[in-house]
Amino acid sequence: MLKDIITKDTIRLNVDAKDWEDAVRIGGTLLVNVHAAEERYVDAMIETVKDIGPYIVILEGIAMPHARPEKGALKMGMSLVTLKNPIEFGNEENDPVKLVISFCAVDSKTHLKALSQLMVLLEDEDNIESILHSDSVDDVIRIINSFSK
Amino acid sequence: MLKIFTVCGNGIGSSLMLKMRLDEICEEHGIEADIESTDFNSAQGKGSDLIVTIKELANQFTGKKVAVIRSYVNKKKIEADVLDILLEMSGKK
Repeated sequence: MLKDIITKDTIRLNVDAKDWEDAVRIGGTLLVNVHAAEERYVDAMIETVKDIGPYIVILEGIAMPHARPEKGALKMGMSLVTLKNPIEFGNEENDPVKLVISFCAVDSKTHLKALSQLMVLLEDEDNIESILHSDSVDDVIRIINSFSK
Repeated sequence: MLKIFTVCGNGIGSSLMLKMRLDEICEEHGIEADIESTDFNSAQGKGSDLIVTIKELANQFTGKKVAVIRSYVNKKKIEADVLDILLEMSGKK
């Protein structure tokens, strides 16, 4: 369930990131803090963007950095970071990024439920706006809970 | 039954979301398809009727039928990019 994965420990709001790499590192570090990933996983998330391009900006204003499970993922994890200042990732279609949802998974099956709940949430523009304008982690958790059924 | 691979760099995130989207699109249009998300190397090594991925990865495939999508998640864009190809391949057009 989404609410078991995005928790108060993996949410940071209005973060001041200096560039896309910094934004990915902040999101990735939250995964490391809750023991969902090793430090090297964060580097791998950044390498993925450098290798393949900014395709992780999956929707307008939303980036989802991740890396391969064998790059140091320990269990399923997801973090949510809103950015104080929107950041260019180099994705023509969907820049600039305001919301960074980093994740890690140990295979391609166990996080299916959480990912599909997240997709429904991401499509709901009103909720995305609420999350982006929120200063309260509790408010964001309430929104997540409503999509985690 | 069409065999389709959705492909992203890692095979666990974007390609999985794209698979969920394509499952929905195929179901809505009565297209029979077995859709699997995977990474580049697996998709290049296995047999399939169609590979769906972004342009950065599409031109790295050799000897494969590839459809290019602009978004892994936006259903409207995905549908605009691949529905005609899917309908044609499944003999519905």
